[in-house]
Amino acid sequence: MLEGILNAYPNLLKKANGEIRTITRADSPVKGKVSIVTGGGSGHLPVFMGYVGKGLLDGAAIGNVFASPSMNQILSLTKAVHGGKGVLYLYGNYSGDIMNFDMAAEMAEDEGIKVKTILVADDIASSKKGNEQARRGVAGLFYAYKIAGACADEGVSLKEVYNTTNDALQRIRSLGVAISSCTVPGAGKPSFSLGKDEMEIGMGIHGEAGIKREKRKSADEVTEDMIDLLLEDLPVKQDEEVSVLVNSLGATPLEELFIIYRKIANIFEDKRIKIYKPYVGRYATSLEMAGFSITLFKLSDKFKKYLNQPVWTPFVKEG
Amino acid sequence: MNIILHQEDIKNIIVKLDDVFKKEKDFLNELDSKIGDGDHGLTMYRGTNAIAQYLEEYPDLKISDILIKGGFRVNEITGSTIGILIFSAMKAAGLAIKEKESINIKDIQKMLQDSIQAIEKRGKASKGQKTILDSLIPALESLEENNDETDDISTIKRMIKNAYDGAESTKNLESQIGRAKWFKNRSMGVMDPGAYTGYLILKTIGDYILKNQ
Repeated sequence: MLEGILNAYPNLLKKANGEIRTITRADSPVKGKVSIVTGGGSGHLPVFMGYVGKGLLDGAAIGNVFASPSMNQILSLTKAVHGGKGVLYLYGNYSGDIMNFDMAAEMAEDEGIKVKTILVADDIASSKKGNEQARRGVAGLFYAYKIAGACADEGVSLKEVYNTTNDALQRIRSLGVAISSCTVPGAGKPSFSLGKDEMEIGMGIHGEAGIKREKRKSADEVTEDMIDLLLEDLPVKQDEEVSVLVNSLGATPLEELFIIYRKIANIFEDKRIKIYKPYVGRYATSLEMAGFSITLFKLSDKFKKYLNQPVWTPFVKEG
Repeated sequence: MNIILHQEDIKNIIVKLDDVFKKEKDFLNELDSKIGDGDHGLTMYRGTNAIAQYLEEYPDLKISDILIKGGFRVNEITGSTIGILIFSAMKAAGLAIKEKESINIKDIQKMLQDSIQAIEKRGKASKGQKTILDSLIPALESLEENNDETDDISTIKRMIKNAYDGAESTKNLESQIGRAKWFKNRSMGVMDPGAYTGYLILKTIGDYILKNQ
């Protein structure tokens, strides 16, 4: 899989230190900007390698399916991409990743590289409001990468990239629903099972438990429920602007995503909330899991500007 | 009867661990699929296999380096939560006996104690949260009770039993930490795969000692 991606995008990506599980943009290290590093288990494409490139990430450390990359991978990637202005670790809030990234950060600091860490924790199903720091990171990763990448491209300090990205994450919320499981290669069995006519609202991207399991409903009804829950967590007033990301967890086709997007557009029109720059497609997946997620990003002028900055990566090309 | 382990014994134990996790892989995956993503056995087997191969490449490492460099190798190959915890634990165990050419039961106690501390620190975990610590900590207690009057062999037997009972006790616990915490109510009644792994490691070490001393 990794070799295939490198074969397909030889002008965009390269291996760091000859190690295939640490991938950097082809022109790395980029001097004069903060470097953005991410990583995590495989099985979520385009997360993570798909977003390595100009305007988004400097590098990604990739683990086995659903398993964190190693401390040493992260450390050697950090050294390979460091352009002199410090490194931001930006990844999903999962304990294995945290342990490996934290240990790498300690060792990078020992070698004189400044590192700051932001955990993406956008999944509202995984913990109640007021306890946001316990939430899991899902498709909101994409917006986090966009903001961090665009901000870093302005050549500002690590502290500023850190603060701006954190501010953006206060405005980003996701919620998913799954109707079938995926199977980790080598494990032999599906990670979980759902009844034929069941769905689970809030199911995590590794099959973690969500808010509720219920009988399947129509796409319109499910979408309406999900938008209600999202807006309860992230209130958006009339005339405010949001970017919307409708994401397939893997097996759900684009056709169905647009059915969902249609409903979202209708709901927001009724609420007089403006949608700015929607994204519909596969942005953060879970192998062949069927289902989708919706991410809302409440915008400001500053974040709109950053959303419009050019990016050039294997899976996203804009500007 | 006093236990003494040499470099050769440590290498033999690692080969045994590789065998044990090869055999137990499917059972551990099965446990993990109930409270996780079903690959814990696979990760552990990849890890033990990586150290076994590493030792074939570097057969002359001293005991502390087998643990420190071997642990690093486990994390390199597996990444993962258990991979970094095992690296942290093996590094701590290696540092506990640095420069020693043989280890006795007091060394084993210190190694386990330091390993547990390293896991607690890196994993921000404690006993009772349904983790590997729930088999390791009761096992350490049996070693702590060992003194000049007790027999090493009976201590090792108690260590194995305590580790097993500790792993079993996780059936009645809810996962509170790590990715498994998201399976809270589904985790009741299921033994924690990490705790069972802790038991398997100690049982393999213990069985080797009982057979060869």
